[in-house]
Order: sequence, then structure tokens, then C-alpha cells
Amino acid sequence: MKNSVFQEITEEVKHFIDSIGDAVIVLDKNGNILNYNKALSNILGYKSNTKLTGKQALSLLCPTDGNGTPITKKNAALFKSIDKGKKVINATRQFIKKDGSFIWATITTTPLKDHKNRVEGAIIIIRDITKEKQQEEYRTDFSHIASHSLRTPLGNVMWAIEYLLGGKPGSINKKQKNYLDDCYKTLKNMNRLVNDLLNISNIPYKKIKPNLQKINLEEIYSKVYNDLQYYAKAHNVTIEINKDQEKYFIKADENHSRTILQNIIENAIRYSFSKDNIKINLKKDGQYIIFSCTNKGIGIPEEKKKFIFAKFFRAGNAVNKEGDGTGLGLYITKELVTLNKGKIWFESVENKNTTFFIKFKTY
Amino acid sequence: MKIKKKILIVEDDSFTIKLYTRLLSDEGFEVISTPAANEACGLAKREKPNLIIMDLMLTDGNGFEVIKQIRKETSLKKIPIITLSNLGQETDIDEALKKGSNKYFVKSNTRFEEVVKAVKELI
Repeated sequence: MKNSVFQEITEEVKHFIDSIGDAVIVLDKNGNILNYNKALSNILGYKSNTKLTGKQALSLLCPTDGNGTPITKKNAALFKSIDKGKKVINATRQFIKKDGSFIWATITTTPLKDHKNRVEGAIIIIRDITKEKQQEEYRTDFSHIASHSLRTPLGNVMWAIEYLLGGKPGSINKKQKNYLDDCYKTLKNMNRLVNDLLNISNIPYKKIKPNLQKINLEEIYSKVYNDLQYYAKAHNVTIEINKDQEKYFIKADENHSRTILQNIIENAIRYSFSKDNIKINLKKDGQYIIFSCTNKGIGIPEEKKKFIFAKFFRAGNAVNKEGDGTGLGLYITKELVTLNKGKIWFESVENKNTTFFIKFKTY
Repeated sequence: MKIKKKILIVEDDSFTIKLYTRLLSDEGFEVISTPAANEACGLAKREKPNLIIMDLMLTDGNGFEVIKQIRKETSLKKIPIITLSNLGQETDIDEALKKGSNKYFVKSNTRFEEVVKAVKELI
């Protein structure tokens, strides 16, 4: 590749390549650097007058995978392109800079072929993603600290109240019970807020991956029903299920399904009129299972319906009825339903009935 | 007299320990506890609990490593472990289960009855 166009490029082309933010390297078929742009020197911390041509790309970059395992010639993306003629897209790597520090990068390698389709070398494009990786780590740290520090006291006090309401430490009078119900309702709302905030910090970064498996939706509903008993009592509403069989197997993530049903039923409880009987319906419809939840309550105003799944949206009548809330519940619910290959929709008449439907494929 | 089943709680929050001890004692279990990750294995070897309830973020270490250690110890490896943590990310849940926890509950999203049910199933 001595006289290759990739080695001897015109000033105009050089200027064009140097203006690219990602590092571009042209290699011969032994993995030696023939040409490169300015971004490579910047990313690796070399001065612009340090000559990198002629160096072995693997020795210069010292790549490791995401877990710190060194990449050898045998599993290097660039040699997949050179030896096998394959293109490798966006592989994540760590490289060592001149000063010994690490950078995170994604690399794309493409074989370079001559007019007879023989591989002559490869082009590597390196994108520095160190800042994004650091932000991801901060987010994970934040999630851990927030999860632990916010949920621990909440969970403890909720369990203590459940214990008192259960009557085991002694009987309580009606007035005391009402206060405890109110405390429980407030804590449950706060827990919901924490969950929403933690979920929302993960969704845009696709950190949520569903573990799709065979689950019985009726069983999930029973757990959610138990979880929400006190919450429903505190709002003076009851929940009733209508089903046409015992088991409703779907393919979905168990935790996601629980969050989905929990969010929908919690909303129904919060926005129902007092003494309402919320109706849950589970039915098989061909190759689908349809879950629905109907309440009599404030409903969704016609002009607000199109925004109902939008992030941070809360309709005015919902804010008036329940001041606290993030407007994230239905957004998260829809994201989770979609991740689990389901569908969600609703029918609502303001100040009358609202029904949310969720459809999953049967297993 | 029926011998009570013994539960070891590894948890560093004193109110949480007090609460679990009260709730589980009411269910008829004998409860012992330690707040320290580095004491958990030794205590389990001495006390031979029927089940371990494990928190993950402990002051002196992380519960994932304790689970791993327990699963490596011949005399402890069959003791069921329930992870009861407030870390709710799937990566945490997967890691705890992979290291050998039998069940995982996100504490603030779970009612205590559900934990008791799981304890009874596993013992």
C-alpha cells in the first residue's frame, strides 16, 4: 500500500479529515498506521508534531474491553477487518493515553479493499466517550445513593405502620387509625415519587432491559393488590377483579409488569371518587391477554388526552385533586409496556369513568 | 417444645434491625443479627441459621461479596438467602441472584407479609 491514496492525500482532503471530531486512522494490512487526523493526537494526548505514522495501532492504543481484559491481535476489531474483511461497528474499548490515563471510546473498523476486492488495510474511527461514561457512572452512583438513602427510612416507617395497623402490638382506636392511614398514604406517595425519579433517570439511557419470561399476570396482580390494600383503604375505595380463568400467562419482565399494574391501579385509586369500587378485568382475547382497570372519578379532560403519556404532564383536575405527583407515572408505564412488547391505551369521560387497557401477547 | 427456626439478619441500620427482629419474632422465628459484612460469615458458621436476610449496602463492605463468601463455604452454601435491599436496579438484582441469593426484594416496594411468605417457603 506504499503509494496508496490513503497514504498520500491532498492538502484539501487532509484539511477535511482534520476537521472531523472523531479520530480517523488508516492502517496497512499489518496494522501499522499509514495516516491519521489531528483528533487522534488530541484524544490520545500527543502533541500535534509527534509523528504517529509507522506505529503499530495495537501498541499505540493498548486497547482493553469494558472489563479491563486486554485486546490481542486475535480478537482486535481492526484485524477482523484486515484478516476477515468484516466491518465492526461501535465496539466499546478503553485505550491508554500518552500520560498513562484511560479513555473510553467506541471504535468502528472498516476494511479497505483494492479494485480486485483484496483487503489492503483498514480504517478505524475512534469516538471518545469518556465524558458520557463518567456521566453514566455518576448516574449509577446517584441511583445507588438515592435508592438506599431515600428508600430505607421510607420502607421502615411503612412497615412499622403496617405493623401497627395490623393490630399485633395492640388495638388502636378509629381516630388513631385515621392518622396512621394518612401517614401511610403520604409515605406511599413519597415512595412512588422516589421510584419515578429513579426510573426516569434510567429510561433515556436504555439501562432498562426487560427479562422476558413466562409469567402469570394474575399472580402479579395479586401481589400488587396486596401491596395496595392499605393505600386503597386510606382513599376509601375498594378493588374488585373479574376474570374468566385462573392463569394468564404472558411473556414479560416480572418487575416491569408489577410496576405497570401498580402505576395504573395507584392512579385509579388516587383519582377515584370516594367509595368507588375499582374494577379490574383480565381476559384472553385470541393470542392476547388484556388487562383493564376502570374507576369512577375525575377522569381525563378531552383536550388533555393527547398529552396523558407525556413526561411530566399532569392535567389540571388531577393537580387539584392530588397536589403531589410528578407526572411521570404514565410516561414510565408506557415506556415499560413498550419495552415488554405490549400496548397501552385508555378511554375516559371527565367526571365519569376511566378505563386503562394493557395488552400483552400470551405465552 | 418446638425449636424455633433461626434467621440471621445482616443489616447495618439499627432501626431496620429492630423492626425486622420484632416482625419476625412475632412470626415465631428466632432472630440474630450483625451490622458488619466482615462478621456475617463467622456468625453464620457459629450459629448455623436456617436462613439469612441480607442487605447489600453495608457500612464496612458490600452484601454481594458476603453472599459470594457464604456460597463458597461448604458448611453454609445450602442456607437460603433473601436479599432485602433498597437497590432496585436490574443490574443489582441480577448480580445478587447470580452470586447465590435465592430471592430479592426491593424493600420499600414490598410488603412485609410477602417477605414472611418467602421465608416460610425457603426454610
